[in-house]
Amino acid sequence: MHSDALLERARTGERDAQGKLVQLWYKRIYNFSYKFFMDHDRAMEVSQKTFISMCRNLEALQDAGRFKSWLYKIAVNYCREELRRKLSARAVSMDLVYNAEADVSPAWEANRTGTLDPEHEYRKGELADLLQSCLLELSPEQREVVIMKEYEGLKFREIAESLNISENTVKSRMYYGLSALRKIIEKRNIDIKEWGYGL
Amino acid sequence: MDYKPDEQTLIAWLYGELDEAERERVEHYLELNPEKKEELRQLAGVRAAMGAVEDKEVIIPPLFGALGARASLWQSSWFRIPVGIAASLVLLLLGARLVGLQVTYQEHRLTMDFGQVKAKPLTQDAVQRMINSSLAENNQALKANWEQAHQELAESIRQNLVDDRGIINAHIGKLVSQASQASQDQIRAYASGLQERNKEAIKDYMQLTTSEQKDYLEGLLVDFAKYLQEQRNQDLKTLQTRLDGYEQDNTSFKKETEQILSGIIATVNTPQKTEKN
Repeated sequence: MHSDALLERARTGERDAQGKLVQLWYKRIYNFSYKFFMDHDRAMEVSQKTFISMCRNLEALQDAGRFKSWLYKIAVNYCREELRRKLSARAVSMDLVYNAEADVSPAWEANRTGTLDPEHEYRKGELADLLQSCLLELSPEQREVVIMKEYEGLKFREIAESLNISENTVKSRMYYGLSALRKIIEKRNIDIKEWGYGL
Repeated sequence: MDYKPDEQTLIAWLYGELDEAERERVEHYLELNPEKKEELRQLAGVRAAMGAVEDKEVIIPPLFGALGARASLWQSSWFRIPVGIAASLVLLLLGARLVGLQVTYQEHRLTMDFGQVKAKPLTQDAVQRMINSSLAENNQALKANWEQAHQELAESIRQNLVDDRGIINAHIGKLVSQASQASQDQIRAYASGLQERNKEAIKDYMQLTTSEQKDYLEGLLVDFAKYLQEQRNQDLKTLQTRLDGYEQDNTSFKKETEQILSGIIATVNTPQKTEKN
């Protein structure tokens, strides 16, 4: 996503290059955090902390080729920290109750294919929210792995580096995470067959 | 063959991260185990369903947005403030020009008029002031001219000094080169003198060594001659001694021979006398 030259300039402390890195990666880290919490505020909190930490510690990054897994490692750590705070605060995110973005977000607008069935699109958005809420029912360890693999496109090796675990552990968590998701979807009677996602 | 892939291998197969050989083994295993195959098919369905969850759009907060975006020239404060001040001054000047504003400062008074300024009648004092100011200006002009002439003269003198310095330096250089030439001649004369003396010394040394060698050789020859003479004398003496010895021996032999012969003769003569008697 970024060039080696940009990363090298950012490592030397060049503010413009660091800002460019933030622009390139912010959306990815935000979406990772959002899928982890399904909460916009927490996702923004984690994203900002991640990039502040990135700017401060970029010089310490030994291998520029591992920037991606290093960045996600920071994000995962802040997600876990935020989770510990969330468990202690026990606040309920309004996003789970009412997601205004579902109605007025540019993403929803972008999802419109111009078909003559807006209800279809609306139901598809509902399905996406339901599936995303299924993710929240996974354990944090499985959720991290599933999101990083399915949505962020990291390799098993990169996930292992980010989480500081073995590759086999990552694969196990992925296997059991997908199995658990299947059971959650069945338990919620979510019918995904009509979308062509036959089980 | 009891091959049973574990969960890690199955999930790697699901994500296409197995090598060719391993993938074939897993597929062969799945063909033989339809329930496992069905389980994996369901997991693939879950993956496909989760693909419906799309990314959210997000606006990057200003703190991070400003880091990367370069502020345009028009937005930078160091550009906008001076441009604003310059534009205000231009407007003021334009407005002043349009309304015919004239600003004058006389007799410690600042006056601003709109339109043409009326000329005031001249008084004696005003004329005197004009004359005084004219004289003052004239004096200043003369002073400026004098200063300029003074500077030019000083510059000319400085230039002449520089030129003279150049000539003097050239003379000094010439003297130095002459002195160096003289010293070079002296050095050459000294060197040639040294060479002559060295040549003489070597020549004397060679002659001395030659005469010494000659004397030495002569001495050697003389000694050798003496040695030979002595040897000869010795040999002669030895020879003489031997000859004397031979002579003595010969004399003795002769005597002995004579004696023997005498005896024989005596013996021979004695029997003959007996027979006669």
